[in-house]
Amino acid sequence: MKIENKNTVSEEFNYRYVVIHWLNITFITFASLYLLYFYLQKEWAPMLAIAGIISVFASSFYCNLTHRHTASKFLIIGGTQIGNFLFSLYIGFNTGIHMYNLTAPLITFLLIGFENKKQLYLTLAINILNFLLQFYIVENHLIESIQLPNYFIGYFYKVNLIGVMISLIVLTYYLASTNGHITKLLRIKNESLTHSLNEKELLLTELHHRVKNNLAQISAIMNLQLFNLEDKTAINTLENTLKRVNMIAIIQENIYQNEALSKITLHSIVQILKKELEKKLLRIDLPSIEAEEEIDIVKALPIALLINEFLMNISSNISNEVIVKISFGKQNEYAFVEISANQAIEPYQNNNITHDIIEALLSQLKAKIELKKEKELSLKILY
Amino acid sequence: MANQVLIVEDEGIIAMLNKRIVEKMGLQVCASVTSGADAIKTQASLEPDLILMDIMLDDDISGIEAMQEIRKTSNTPVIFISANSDRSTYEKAISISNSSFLNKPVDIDSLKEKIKAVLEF
Repeated sequence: MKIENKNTVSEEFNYRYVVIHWLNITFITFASLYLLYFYLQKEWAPMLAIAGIISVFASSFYCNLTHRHTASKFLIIGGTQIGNFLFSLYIGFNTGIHMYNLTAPLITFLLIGFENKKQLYLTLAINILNFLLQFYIVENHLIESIQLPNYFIGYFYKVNLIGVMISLIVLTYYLASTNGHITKLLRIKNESLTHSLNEKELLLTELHHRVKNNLAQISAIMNLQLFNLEDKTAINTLENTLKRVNMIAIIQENIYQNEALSKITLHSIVQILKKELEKKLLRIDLPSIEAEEEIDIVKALPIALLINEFLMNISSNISNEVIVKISFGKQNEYAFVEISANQAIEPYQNNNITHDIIEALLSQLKAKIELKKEKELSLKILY
Repeated sequence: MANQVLIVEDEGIIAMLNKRIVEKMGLQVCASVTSGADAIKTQASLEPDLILMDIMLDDDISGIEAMQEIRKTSNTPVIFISANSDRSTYEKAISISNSSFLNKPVDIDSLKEKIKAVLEF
């Protein structure tokens, strides 16, 4: 990919060098015609000035061939500006030389572009000043133009018109080529990004699948072990551990199915727990899904595990049907999950693994618990 | 004669668990295979009453593709059991006639209920 980018950049520059090459040839050719004319007319001063300008274009041509592109670029811009100025002064506006004032800003833009705005604005400002100065000098007759015969004025006008047209064609070609090239480059980059995105999505799918599959294997091992156990305490312990593993798998599933991977709602997780716990005399009352805000994925796992621990513990300590309500909300700077029951049940005991797990999860979340247990149970996890 | 169940699962431990669950229900596992190609062949030769099918298998043929092939000749009920439960996979799986879907890790009670419902016993 990096190699491709380097190639495209160098190709873009090549277009620019081709333009400089052909502009120099065009300018040298047309200036040579003027040189010939002034030589025949024995107008030595303008002839020397034009010879000087031709040498500037020839230097630009040489620099371009020898890969001194910056020098080449500024020589051609300078040559155009000075040439325009001198030609306008010597032969006046009526030969059409002023038409090059239209191509000069285009040449400037196409050779400098927006890569260096300071250079671009400076060159364009010089171009405007050059034109205003020409206009002022010619209009106020500050320098006498060479008196040309009428047929020569017509001839020069045609030559200049053709020269401007050729310049515009070369510049339009450059613009079209660059534009086409940029469009192609954007298409290639777009295709490359789409491909990369598809690959990442595939990788993410595979990763989620692997995580879930590994959890499924752990769960299967525990289930197989359960088939061989007879001791009730051992069965109970392993079943609780299995539930914890399954809870992690449920959260993984929810992360994967959620469109925004960084956020998750607890509602869907508790919904699955509800089905499991209702087998054990718990009736879970859940608020509507609109009432719950999304929570950060980093907090989702410990919070879901905490809810799981409390509900598992409550379900193991009841002998008749209990209605449990789970609600979500905000209290001062904390978000909370509230578990309330219609009986004063012990949500956890102090000296068992459930207690240790709850303590560890609360510490991880930097959360606290508000517990009220009179006629009914109210337990708030503030995080 | 007990209902015959074909297990298609590439993870050995999960295949073993499925076998235990099925056998505990009084059913018989006629074969346990790990690839889509073997699933198609075994179904054709043994004609089981039910298929427990994973989706991502050992070979290039997925569980869904294998069932699409099986459906050309047989309407054997299938329960897909997969960790690959994105919406598109789920919809493809349940679009197959006489099929249902369970997520991995599978809840044993849910699997038993599903099997009972499919085999009507």
